[in-house]
Formats: sequence, C-alpha cells, structure tokens
Amino acid sequence: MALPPIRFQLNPGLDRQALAAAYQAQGWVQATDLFVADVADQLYDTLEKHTPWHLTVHQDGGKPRLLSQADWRALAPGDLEALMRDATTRAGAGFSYVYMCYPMIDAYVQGRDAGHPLHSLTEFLNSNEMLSFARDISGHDDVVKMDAQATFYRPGDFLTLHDDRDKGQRLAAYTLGFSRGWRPDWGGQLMFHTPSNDIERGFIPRFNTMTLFRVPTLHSVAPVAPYARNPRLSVTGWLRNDPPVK
Amino acid sequence: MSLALNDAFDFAGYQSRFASKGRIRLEGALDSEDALQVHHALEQQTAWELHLMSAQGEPDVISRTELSELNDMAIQDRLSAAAERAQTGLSYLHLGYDLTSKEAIENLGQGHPLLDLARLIWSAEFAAFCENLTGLSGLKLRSLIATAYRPGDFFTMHQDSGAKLSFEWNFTHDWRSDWGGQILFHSPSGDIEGGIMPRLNDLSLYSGEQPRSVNSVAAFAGAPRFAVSGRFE
Repeated sequence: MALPPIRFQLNPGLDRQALAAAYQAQGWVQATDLFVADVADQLYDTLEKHTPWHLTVHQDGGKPRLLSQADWRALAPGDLEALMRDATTRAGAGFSYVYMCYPMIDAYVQGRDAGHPLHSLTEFLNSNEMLSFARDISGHDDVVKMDAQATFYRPGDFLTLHDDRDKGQRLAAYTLGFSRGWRPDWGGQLMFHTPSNDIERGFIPRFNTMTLFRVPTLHSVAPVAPYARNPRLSVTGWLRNDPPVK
Repeated sequence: MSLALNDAFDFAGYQSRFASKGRIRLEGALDSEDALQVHHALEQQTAWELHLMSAQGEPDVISRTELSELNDMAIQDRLSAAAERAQTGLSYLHLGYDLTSKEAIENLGQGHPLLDLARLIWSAEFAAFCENLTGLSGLKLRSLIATAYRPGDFFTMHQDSGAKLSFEWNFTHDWRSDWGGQILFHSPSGDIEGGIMPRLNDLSLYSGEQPRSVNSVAAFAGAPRFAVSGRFE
C-alpha cells in the first residue's frame, strides 16, 4: 500500500491552559481542530478507505475476539452470525461490544501492514510532542505512552456500559474523532451515565476532535442508528504510565 | 378501575426545577400496582398499529387490517421510506395506539387499564397536576398516544412548536441504561445535555421547544419500551 506517511502536526492554536483547566473542572474536555487540517484529512482518508478493519466482538468470559477479514472468511457458514448474535445477546445483560477495529499497537509491534499511515500515527501518539500535550491537558506528569486502536462503528455496532477501571495504568481515556457530517440523532454518541442510569452528557461524533475523560467514568457508545449514513471513525485508547512499548 | 394521581410531591421544588431546566421527571404518579396494570395492558392487551413517516414526510399509520393484508414487500417499502427520511431529518417508526379520538379510547372497552389512564390524562385534574408541577397555567391537552418502541424503532430530533408542554409517562420496567430508548435532549452544539432512561411509572414533563429525540432502541434490548405521551397547548 503506497500511501505517503503523514507528517503529523498538532494545531498550533490549541490553548493548553484552557483545555487543562476545563479537564480539571469537568473531568472531561474536548479539543477541536486537534491536528492541522491536511493531517486530519489524510487520517480521514486512511480510516475511510485504506484500513484493513478487523471485527471485534466480546466473548463469554470477557476475552475479546478479533477477526481479520481472512479470519472471518475462513469461518464455517453461520459461525460469524453466531459470534455476533452471542455478543449482542450478552449486551442485553452486561458488558459487550461489536465494532470494527484496527489494533494499532499489536500491528505496529508485530510489523504487520508495513508502511501503513496508521503506524505513523502510533509513532506520533507516542512522540514527545503528543505526550507532552497529553501531560499538559490531563495534568498527569507521568504519562509515558498512549495505546491506540482505530475503530469503525457501522449501523448497529455498540459498546455497552463500562468504566475502564480494571487496569491501574490507565490515567485517562481519550478518543480522536474522525466522523464527518454526523447528525445528532444518528446514535453513536459517547454517553456519560449517571449513577441513577440517566444520561448526563453525550458527545456527538465529530471530526478532528480529541475527547479526554477521567478514568473511571461510566460510559458507553450508543448503538449507531440503522439509518446513519456516514461511518463513525475514531482512534481510541488511554494515557498510560506503564513502560513504553519500544 | 378508576385511577388516581398521587399528590405527595414537592410541587414547589418541581416548579423551580422546571423553571431553570425546562424539564422534570417524577416517579410514582400512579400507585405502583396500577402502573403494573397499565404496563400489562400495554404489553398484552393493546391493538397496536404501526406509526411511521411516509416517503412524502407525512404521518403514516399501517393499521392492523393492513398489517394482516398487505404483502411483506409493501410493508417493507414503507419501513424503508421512514428509515430513509431519518437519514436527513424528521422521521419515526414505532408501534402506536391513538388515545386522542373518543372512539379509539372507547374501543379499548370498559375495564381496560389504558381506557382508565386515558380518562385520567384527559381530565381537568391531570392538567391541574401538570400546572402544579410546572407553574404553567391554562394547559389544554391536544393529543395523546400510547407507544411501544421495539429494537430498531426511533423518533429523530424534533420540537413541538406551539406546544406549551409535552409529556411522556413511561411504563417500561427493568430497562438498562445502555439499551437506548432514552428521551435525549439536544443542545445547539449537537451534543446531548441530558437523557431520561425508560422506567416504570415515570412521568417526564418538558417544554415543547427543547429539541429532543427518542434514541433508537438497541437490538439487544430485552423488551419493548412502553409509554403514553401527549402535548398541551
């Protein structure tokens, strides 16, 4: 795949102090226009057209099942439907998910898809420029890496309620949104839930927007409406303080 | 059975919350035994029709007769039209039973909990109750409908222009907060500033101007979402 590497640059106009203050006060913050415009466009293009998506589904016992296109083509007839049905049924009673994913860290470490532009994003997310931005706005001086997966939610895809609490090294959660022209009633919002089970806030999928929020925060991704017309694309992960991959 | 409204509420507190937020919800306006009867009637004794938006953007109803007589393709075409309109604007798809026309209400038959509920909601007592909760005056009920949303059903973003007050009395139990189906209130930025999860015997009152939607019900929701909703002018 002969896509040019992306020359990453954060938007120089980002007001780190204001973002940090908002994060401190609210426990979440959104940085709009995160990257300079042509970087954002290239990332969109990569995610929309050039990403070898895997299907990820939650399995009984909690272990994620990740299937590449080759994997799911090799399944016996009906097996894919059974996996989806099983993950969907489990969503009725607890944590589950179905969405398309590209495991950026594993793919990078294992040297898969050499030269893919998402590898340059993985490198950028773990560069001094991005990590210092992450430290500045989160207030966590000990951020040493950002893990990442690219995600694509199709109509009907979902991630049910959870709070990211299970791993101690997760300092904060982030999403980089690359959805264009989303409508407020297409679902797919990042939802924050109250202890009484209502919704206190929901973020519409946006383009070139970073959302940072505290761990733990009770949240979900609302199922994408069957009639949503655009792909819900994002890169998501956590700011972490465990040793870097490299 | 005749239904009665509970009145042990902090009306002043609700009025001040309504004044500041434009929406309130209260649990337990009916006795819980009565609420369960209403839920049971909605689940098992209601002759639902299919309410949806037509390809021309008009309110459309597929009656029970049509549901049994039309071929699947014809019904599918109308469902597709409603979903297609939802891509870009106002549309909805859910089961409904009209509670505005006297005839429809009386067709439910004596002893039907929904008949009793409709009579209560159309009474002056209910309008006064809502006035007491909101501080509004002169509320006149204009329309009332019972609804059931199944997985995939939805109502996209809309406002009730001209309504003084809209309400939904929800009769769903054991919902989970990630099953969709919330009444979502939208801010001008396109984000969601609040969402009310379906609950049994939960009455939400909101100003008609606030943009809202009913979040599409997740494929994995364990039951339909039942409610009775109406608007005052």
